[in-house]
Amino acid sequence: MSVSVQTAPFDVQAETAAFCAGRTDVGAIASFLGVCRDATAGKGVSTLFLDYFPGFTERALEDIEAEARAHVGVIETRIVHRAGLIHPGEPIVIVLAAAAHRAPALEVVAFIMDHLKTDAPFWKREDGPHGARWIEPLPSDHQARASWEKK
Amino acid sequence: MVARLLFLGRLRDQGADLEMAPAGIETLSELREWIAREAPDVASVLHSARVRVAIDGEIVHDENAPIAEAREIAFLPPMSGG
Repeated sequence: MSVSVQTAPFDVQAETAAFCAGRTDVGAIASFLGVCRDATAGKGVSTLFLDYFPGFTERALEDIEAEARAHVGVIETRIVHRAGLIHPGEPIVIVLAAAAHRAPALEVVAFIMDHLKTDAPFWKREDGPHGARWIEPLPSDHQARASWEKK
Repeated sequence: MVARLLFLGRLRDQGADLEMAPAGIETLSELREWIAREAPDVASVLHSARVRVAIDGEIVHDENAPIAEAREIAFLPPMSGG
């Protein structure tokens, strides 16, 4: 179980390779990669600024990961999350999960992402030709998070 | 000990001039009163129920929470999520 929050870009291939290396106890490794999208839809370049609370943010992500690890069949997980200034096309977050079988691996990646979208202590600001705008989670993000309560 | 003040997210711009709590402030409530004198616009934003306070990394809800020995007091607006 491991969490990293970093302002430096992360290498998707290197993180995945390191996570997979030497494992003989798993039959499934699932992953999700969140990427920075240009919010201006071609009308000018936007950048994303992700503010975070050092120490506090990592602990909150560790709590989400701990809850995810309680899922039956999950062997290992890793979350790497960018912070600071991020440009369109750059990876923002990678979530990796290893399990003996595919169902728990896929499910726990979805669980972590649905909780990251609402419970992770980040504050997003979109900077573009129309100025800067701080973002709050969408109702659909809250619904996705809430759907795990019923399971 | 004098605590560092940290404003997260959209509060960063509004609280930019307030870097350190002054000496002699004992509670969170007294800190808010000081902020209200120094920067009334910031104080009103911080009073929103949706802005949480963390003392040395732990969320507090008690306005009488002691801050004399705190190293850092952070104000957290609603999160955007990851």
